[in-house]
Amino acid sequence: MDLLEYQAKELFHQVGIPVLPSQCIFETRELKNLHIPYPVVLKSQVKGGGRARAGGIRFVENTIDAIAAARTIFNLPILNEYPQVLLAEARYNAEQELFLAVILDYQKQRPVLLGSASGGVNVEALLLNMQTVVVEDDFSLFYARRLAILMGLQGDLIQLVSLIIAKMYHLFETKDLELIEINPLGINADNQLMALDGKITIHDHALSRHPDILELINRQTRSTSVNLTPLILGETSVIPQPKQFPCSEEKGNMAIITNGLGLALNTWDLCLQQKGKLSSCWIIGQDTQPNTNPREFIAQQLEQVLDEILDKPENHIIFLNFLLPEKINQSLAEVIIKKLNNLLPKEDISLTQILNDTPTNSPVRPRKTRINPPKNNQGILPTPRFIIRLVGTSLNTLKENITYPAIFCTESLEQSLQQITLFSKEK
Amino acid sequence: MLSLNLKPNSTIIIQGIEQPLAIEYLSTMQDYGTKIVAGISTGKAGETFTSIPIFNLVEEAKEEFGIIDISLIFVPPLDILDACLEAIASGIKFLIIVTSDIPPLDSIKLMRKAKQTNTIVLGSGQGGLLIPETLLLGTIDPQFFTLGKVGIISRCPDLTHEIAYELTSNGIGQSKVINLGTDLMLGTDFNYWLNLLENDANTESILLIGHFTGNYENLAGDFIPGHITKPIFGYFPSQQLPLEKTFADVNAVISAQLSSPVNEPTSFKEKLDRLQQAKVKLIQRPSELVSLLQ
Repeated sequence: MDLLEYQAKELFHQVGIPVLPSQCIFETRELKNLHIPYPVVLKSQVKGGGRARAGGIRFVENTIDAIAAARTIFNLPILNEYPQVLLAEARYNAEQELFLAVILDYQKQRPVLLGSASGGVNVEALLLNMQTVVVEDDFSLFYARRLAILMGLQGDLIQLVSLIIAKMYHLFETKDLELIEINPLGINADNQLMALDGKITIHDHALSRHPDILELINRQTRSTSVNLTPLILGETSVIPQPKQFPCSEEKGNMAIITNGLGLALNTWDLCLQQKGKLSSCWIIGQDTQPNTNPREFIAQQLEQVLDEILDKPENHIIFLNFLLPEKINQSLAEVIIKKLNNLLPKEDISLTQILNDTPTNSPVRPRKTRINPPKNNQGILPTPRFIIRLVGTSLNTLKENITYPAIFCTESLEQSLQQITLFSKEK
Repeated sequence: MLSLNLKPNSTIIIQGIEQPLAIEYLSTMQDYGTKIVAGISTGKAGETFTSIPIFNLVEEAKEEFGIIDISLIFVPPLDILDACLEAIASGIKFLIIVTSDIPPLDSIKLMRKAKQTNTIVLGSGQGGLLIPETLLLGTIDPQFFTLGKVGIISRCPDLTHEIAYELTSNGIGQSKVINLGTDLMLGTDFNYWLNLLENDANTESILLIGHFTGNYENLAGDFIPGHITKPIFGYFPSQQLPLEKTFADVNAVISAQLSSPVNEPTSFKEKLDRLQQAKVKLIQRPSELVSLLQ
């Protein structure tokens, strides 16, 4: 989770990283009671970068200008996000700007210090001059000094900047951060340092053990607070949300539902190989946290996902691909039968048999027959058309109980994929 | 180094046995013949769970049963570091972490401690191990597997099932199945288990299953030449699914969030090329592997 600038600066302030006098502005009229002397900078509080470029940072000299600027910024979306709050800050004249960050390197499995003497908005120069120090062992100040020297700092600045880095590291370690960044760290003519902007990313899975940060997030945002209750309380009554990957392709007409990320990756790729036009991919029953058994909710998740998919008439083909124990297959089969049999009024169905690949009782060697599902009175297969891939005897249950005609059931992934092509060719 | 000749009578405990996920998979493991000697669950000492005695502390189980070989860990993510440290303190040398989404800073501390004490950690995130007809540990569903000669090392536990099902359906069995885990920080990587399978008399060929978030596939590509002589196959879907991009390199992370073009040190294609140069045969679909192995 990303903190907003003013939230990050609150944490900076708590550990002694210098920040400017500032005031949060939730509504434009609050500027009439500004307790910071002008000139002041007004900053949009959004998570996206490039605020200055987008016009989300403005310098103002008086109340009238401030109110006008605030109105503009409140109505300015940056990367699709409107600010709920602005930060009014005293102006600061920096002679030099540095970039500093502490970030977790997943490859090295160590925190890493990053620094650049070319901090600020010139991204090219910043990245070109980036220096790196891996914190190999427990943190000690010499790691910070090493970075400062690599950055080309001299004299008093080495120690002063090192102390800032140490404080950043302290926050990083104690608050389970993924990233803490100051860009720019301003240095004025008297070698005084000031964190002019701040960015903090806290690891989502650790959030619940930092009630102070949760309170910080929820305290000052007057809009809907972040709903973290399930995380905090470990509520098991909340049905985990199925994960959805929408497809960016237009005119996608095929939705996939499966029971794991690996299966999703696999099924998505293979469907594209079959020239399927994908609209979305859903994952249900994903094993995640041990204090819930996701299989407890998998049937409900399937219902929910089917409702969402069926709500979109562009979904002509729905591919259900599950590799699960038989007892789970049975609960899913019940949902599938219920949903599919509700799709057509019974009198429209003139078919007596649904032809499918017959599952064997063991999971080996599915029969390699190619079968076309039957058509309705007009010779046109209704949409949506379902391909259901399960391994086990629940396939029999589906065959015996589904009256909706446009389905193909199989244990074989390859046959499922071939059926996609057949269904796609049908009118 | 761990021996892959783990016996069914290895002393195995479960930490967090009261967790719903542990309960879900416990009977599958027991039905397979895996013998769990004890469960650890704070406050439930003295109870039994499907005839498994429960203790408050790992050391109490050790006092009762002697040296413990393996701990299977299901405790919630914020308790994982503590549970692992407790297991390590009791001399357990092989930990399998089923829980996922461990705070990374905890993972870092765990990995350091494991390295210092020569403890092998499998996981986190559905870490699991199956030796067909011998031992099942973790969330692997045994119905898709059968005994044979193909060793599988995977970062996608559910995809392991898919490939194994395809192999098993065509009479091709598996020697050892290792799920490395789904988290970004793993206790042991492809390289560690590649080494073991290379030296395992029951394994004739090796299949790697993964995706390209993180750097593990790269490391495998660098490790294989000169270390692995058995035929290796690789299945890496995920080229198309719009996964949220996670950058391996910290500079790439900074570039991305500065809205600058990201120069990933190795692109997806380069990673594939590196594996191919390491003589890993990349397959495009599960059925292709069957043709290659028959």
